[in-house]
Amino acid sequence: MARYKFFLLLMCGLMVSLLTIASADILDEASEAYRRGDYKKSIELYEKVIAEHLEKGEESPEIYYNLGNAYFRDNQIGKAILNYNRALLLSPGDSDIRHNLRFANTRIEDKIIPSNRFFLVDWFESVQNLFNSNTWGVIAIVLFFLFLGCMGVFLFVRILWARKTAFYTGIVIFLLMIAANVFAFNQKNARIYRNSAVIMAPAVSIRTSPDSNSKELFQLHEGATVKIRKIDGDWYEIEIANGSVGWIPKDYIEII
Amino acid sequence: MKYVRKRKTVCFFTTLFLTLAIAANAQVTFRASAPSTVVKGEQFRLTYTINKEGKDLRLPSDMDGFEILFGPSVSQSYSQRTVNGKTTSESSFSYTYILVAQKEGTFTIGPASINVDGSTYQSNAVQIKVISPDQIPKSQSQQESGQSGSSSPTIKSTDAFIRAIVSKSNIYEQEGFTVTFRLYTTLNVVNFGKIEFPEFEGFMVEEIELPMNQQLKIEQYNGRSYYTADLRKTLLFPQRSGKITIPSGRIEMVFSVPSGKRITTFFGSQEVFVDVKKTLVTNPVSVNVTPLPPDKPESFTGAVGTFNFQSKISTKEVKANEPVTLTLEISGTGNLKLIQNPEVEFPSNFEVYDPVVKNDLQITTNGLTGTRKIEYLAIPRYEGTYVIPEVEFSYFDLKNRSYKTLKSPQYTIQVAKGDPVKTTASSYVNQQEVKVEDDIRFLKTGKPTFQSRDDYFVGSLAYWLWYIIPLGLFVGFCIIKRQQAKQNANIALVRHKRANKIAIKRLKVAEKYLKEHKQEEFYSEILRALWGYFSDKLSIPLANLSKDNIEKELSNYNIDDELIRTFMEILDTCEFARYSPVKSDVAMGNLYNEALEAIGRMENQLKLKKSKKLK
Repeated sequence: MARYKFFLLLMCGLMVSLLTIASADILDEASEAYRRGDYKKSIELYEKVIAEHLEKGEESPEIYYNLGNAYFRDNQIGKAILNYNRALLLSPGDSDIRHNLRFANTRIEDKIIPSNRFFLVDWFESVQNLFNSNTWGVIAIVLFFLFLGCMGVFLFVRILWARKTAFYTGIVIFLLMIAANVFAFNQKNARIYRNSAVIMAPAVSIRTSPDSNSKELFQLHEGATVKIRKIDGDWYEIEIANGSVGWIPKDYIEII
Repeated sequence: MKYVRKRKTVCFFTTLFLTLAIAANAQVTFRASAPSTVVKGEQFRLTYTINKEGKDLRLPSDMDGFEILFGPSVSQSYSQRTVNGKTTSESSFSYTYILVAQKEGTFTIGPASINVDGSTYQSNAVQIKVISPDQIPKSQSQQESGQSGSSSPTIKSTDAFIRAIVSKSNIYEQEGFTVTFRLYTTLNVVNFGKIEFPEFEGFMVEEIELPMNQQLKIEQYNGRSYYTADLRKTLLFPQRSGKITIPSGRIEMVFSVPSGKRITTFFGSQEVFVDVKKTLVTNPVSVNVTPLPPDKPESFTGAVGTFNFQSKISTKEVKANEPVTLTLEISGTGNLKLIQNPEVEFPSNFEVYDPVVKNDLQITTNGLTGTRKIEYLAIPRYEGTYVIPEVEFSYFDLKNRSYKTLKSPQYTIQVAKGDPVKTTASSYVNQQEVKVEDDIRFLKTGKPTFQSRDDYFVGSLAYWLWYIIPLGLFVGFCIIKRQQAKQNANIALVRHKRANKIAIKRLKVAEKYLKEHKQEEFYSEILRALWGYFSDKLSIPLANLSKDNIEKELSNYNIDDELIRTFMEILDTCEFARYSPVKSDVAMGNLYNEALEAIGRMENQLKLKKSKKLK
């Protein structure tokens, strides 16, 4: 019995390693197709790799980014923006992803001017977007160790100035640690509760209620990014960056 | 005096006769004149004019196509003018024939000859165009006009109209052609009213200037001859393909029309003319504009016609910050005004100014002819060897119906180091703005990193353990440390309390040695008892004890100096006695008692202090 188990384990390991080798080959092929200008082929291969890895429950910001590039070159702006957003969710601090997303957003029909926000909110978000959830977690733990160190100095060192410094540094580090934890959990929640979506239809009407006969509020075009607020049957209530809210059928958008 | 007057009269006469002689010998001019266009079957006059009387006028022998109805009728005119007291006279004789043309076509009436004072003079030849008569018989039209004249005079559309005449009706896009608005009339024009020419939509318009004073010409149209005059002539360049129609324009004109009434005047019966206003509408004209063939070269920017292309550069060796001028010259015929400037790709660190364009154009019926000069001024900012690539200019050749591309040569410019002063003077241009990247960035290469979709480190058990375990360890460490400190404190206390007893116990052992007369053991036991006592009492480890720090610590405990001295003496005695062991039992007994007493006194003093502190 034990021998059988061992054999099974070996097989599993072998398969996993084979799979990774295979996907690496496909990735090389995909980027070669991209270089050649065969974007359709490149898209197909990248999608294949992503599907394989999703089955295993993992995803890669680099592959999403590359797929986004291939879609962009193939003039499928909506899909390009969707994949850039997916990559950014996994690696919020990456400047390449950010640049390409910004650039792709200049190529879409809708120019949505974001409503004015309090500048601290923007600061908060830009700091939060420096790293992904795990990195923030590690930062928080490191800060926690530093905090413990400060506590130790405060409690057991007899020198007065060292104790004072340790006390105040300890307070600052503790606050930073809390902030890092908040960022870490926010990033995690953004990935678990994916509430952003990208319009995939060339043009779609946003309505006042989840009913195709209701009044049309405004139109959105392919590539516009929206936030999902509510779900009602086959309809989503969405909000765009300028604060406008309306309902859209489920089929026209794809969740990031 | 008389003589003088006589001289004067002689003078006068001589001058008079001289002038007469000059007049007699003056050039004889003999000219033939006739209308340039005549209608077949209608009479016209052929007149020969000579400024001196002649004889024997002979018409040319071949008067083919013409029949002389009457002639010659000779008339003579004489004119004399006096200007500033000077009198000149002119006389002319004209011989008029009335002819009728019998055939259509263009005929030349050869020179006629005349004899004046014995010499023969020849006239000029006359060319006459004979056109066919109007299809509507004149008598009938006259009758008609006579009939209608009884009511109110009207102008029929065949009597006066305006035609829009295009020079070509099948053209290429951007190919120039003319539109002429020509007035045809059989009536006298008295006045012009409102003039509305049509709008030329879809065309680039260039007006052709017409002479201010136009001669009326006779032209035949639809079998009738009219007086014609060009009202407007424009050069048009179609801007799009397809069928483009020039709509009709309207012009109000006042004609003088025979009213049909006749009045008798001094000269006989005459017809009365009335002024009639009429709006003439031009015919709409359509032209077929063929689009240019699709195989346009890349450098084609819409030039259509026949062109030459030349380029010139001011210098090939220049210092940095000194200007270089590149002149492109396009000459020829076509839509020169609409040509876009050919693009010149200067090296990127040249400062290029907007080109100066000079047009030297004439409007002709084929389009604009002339040259278009484009001057690019560029200033190299850094030394080096730079290449200005060849400049291409493409146009659609109307003759061959194909695109043609002309190229200027490639120029290589050597830029030497410029004057440093100049550089600083224009330093503001040296700060160049780097262009913003205008495309997406390239793929991410290398091994991709994978992140799990469902498991997150943050918030997981492992994550919390990273907090809980170190925190637990830290707290545990704190507790242990605390307890250790407490324990240490307890041990010291116990030892402090029991120091007395231990010391006495040791002294008892010393007493035993005393009774057994074991000197060495006795002294070492007393020393041990005292050292141990101080170590316990003062909480100082034995190894660190010395006489000096005991003395110091004891004074810290507020022990009497005398007692301290006693202790020191005992210690000294003991140490001394250990190495010179010849002492009596009495001395040893005294020392024993002394030590016992000193410890007792010290205990008392410490107790006293404690009770004082408590109080």
